Amino acid sequence: MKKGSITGNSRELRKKAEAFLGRDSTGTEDQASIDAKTLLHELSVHQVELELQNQELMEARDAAERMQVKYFALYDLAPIGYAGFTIQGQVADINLAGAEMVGEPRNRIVNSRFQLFIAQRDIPVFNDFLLRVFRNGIKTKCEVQLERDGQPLSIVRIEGVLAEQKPEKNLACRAAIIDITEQRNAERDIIHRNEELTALNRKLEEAGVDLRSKQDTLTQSLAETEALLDEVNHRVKNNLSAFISLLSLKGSHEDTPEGQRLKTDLINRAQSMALIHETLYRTKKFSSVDMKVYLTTLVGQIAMSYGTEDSVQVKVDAGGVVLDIARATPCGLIINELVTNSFKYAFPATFDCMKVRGRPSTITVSLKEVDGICTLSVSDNGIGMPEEVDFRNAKSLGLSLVKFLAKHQLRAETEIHDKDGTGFSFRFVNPRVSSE
Amino acid sequence: MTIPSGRPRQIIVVEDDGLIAMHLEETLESRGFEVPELFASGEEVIAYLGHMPPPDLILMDIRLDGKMNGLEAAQWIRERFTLPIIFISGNVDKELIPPFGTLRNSLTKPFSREDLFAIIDEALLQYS
Repeated sequence: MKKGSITGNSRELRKKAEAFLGRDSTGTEDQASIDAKTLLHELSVHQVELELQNQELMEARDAAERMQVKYFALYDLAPIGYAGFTIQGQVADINLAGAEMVGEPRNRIVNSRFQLFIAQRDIPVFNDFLLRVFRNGIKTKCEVQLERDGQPLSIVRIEGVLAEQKPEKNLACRAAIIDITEQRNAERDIIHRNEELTALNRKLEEAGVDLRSKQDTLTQSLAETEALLDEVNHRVKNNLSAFISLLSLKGSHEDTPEGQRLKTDLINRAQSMALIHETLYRTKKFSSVDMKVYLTTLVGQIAMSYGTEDSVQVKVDAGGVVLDIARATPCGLIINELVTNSFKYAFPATFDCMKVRGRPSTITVSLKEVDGICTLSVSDNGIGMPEEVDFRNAKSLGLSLVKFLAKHQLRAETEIHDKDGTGFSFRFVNPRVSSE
Repeated sequence: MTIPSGRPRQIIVVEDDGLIAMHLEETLESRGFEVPELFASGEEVIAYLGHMPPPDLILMDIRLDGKMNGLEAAQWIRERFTLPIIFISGNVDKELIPPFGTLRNSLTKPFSREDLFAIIDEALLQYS
């Protein structure tokens, strides 16, 4: 409580004191007695006044102590640093958090220049900060690295305003000191990682360019290879066609029915091989033969060569099957031999198919694939194989070829049936044909 | 060709092209050789030799069906049997064929019957 306030309340205090003593100061005793009593009264009243005054002072002290505790909690125990600086950077005061950031006991910091605790390179930054606070008087901030004995401590952001120091009434910079080490480290980490990513990205781009270059080379090489294969298929087909023409020349075979038959057989065999390359060339493939295209043409050509297109129906079913050349060629040769046999022997003039089988003369060629297993079937509903013909011990070139190619080239299981005509079926594995 | 005892000489053909194998079989049989088996892969001929007596000679293509080529199959056979192996190859394959002593041991396709019989006779004579 202030002194002036006590004087101003003296009348109030007197009233309280007199009320406490239970006496009125306006009695009618004889003068001496009255004077003594008056003096005693005055003294008693004054004593009570002093006691009351003391009580108020104690209350004021208690309030001041509570304020000090609150101040300690707010200022000293604050989670961020607080400090006061002179324009030269001398520390007027600093709280515990601030002292902890500086890494020195508070009593060693106060009255020292704060520049002592800042990294050399950042001292001009701090000086400039103080100058701006004192010159402009508005909130100003800076970032500096604190260090101790040359070792870096924390990075801090200092935000300061100009304020009047009491009771000295001189101007000081009141500053908050905030530890931003983690934030700056995280930012540096992000920058570092970003640089690493940029470098990685650059390497990836370089690798991408290299890959594109190699891909271009490969594409060019593939195009050249494809062009060469295309040319090879074309030339093989042409050479076989030339050979077929040679066989057809007058004088190339004996001009007898037997010679004619031999010529037709040879031409059909060569044709079945030439057609493989023709099909590849036509379907723009290089090694995988579309068997539907191939077989439809092959069987049509055989039928034409025997001039029985009208009297014998030919059915081909090979949709969706694709074989490599190593399997398509023996398939073609086998079909050529068996279909040729059917045309030659299954429907003699004396055999009335409609009457015997109830259906027109028909040759059926079918190639199906299920789970990588192909089944090639060639059948006719003709008169059937003569009893003296034994496929297992075949002597004729045609059947020997069929048997041999099925066993050694296709590695097929062969089945023969003779119900309602003649039928052969071959089951073999079709390895995956690479897509082209 | 027959040896004095009268037993025909046996020749095994290892060739993945069926038509060429069939032609070789027919050609060899026309000269009196016996062709007990035709094989398209090295694995097949090795399996055969595992339980059957070796022939007098083997005609071996370089490119075969299966995982082994003719050179690998021949090496396996030579480590276990003493018999002549004649490689039949395309021009490209010929460079791969290692020499085998002073023996002429390869024929380049296409070859004539005479070339085939000459090289077989030469080999059989050296091994007899």
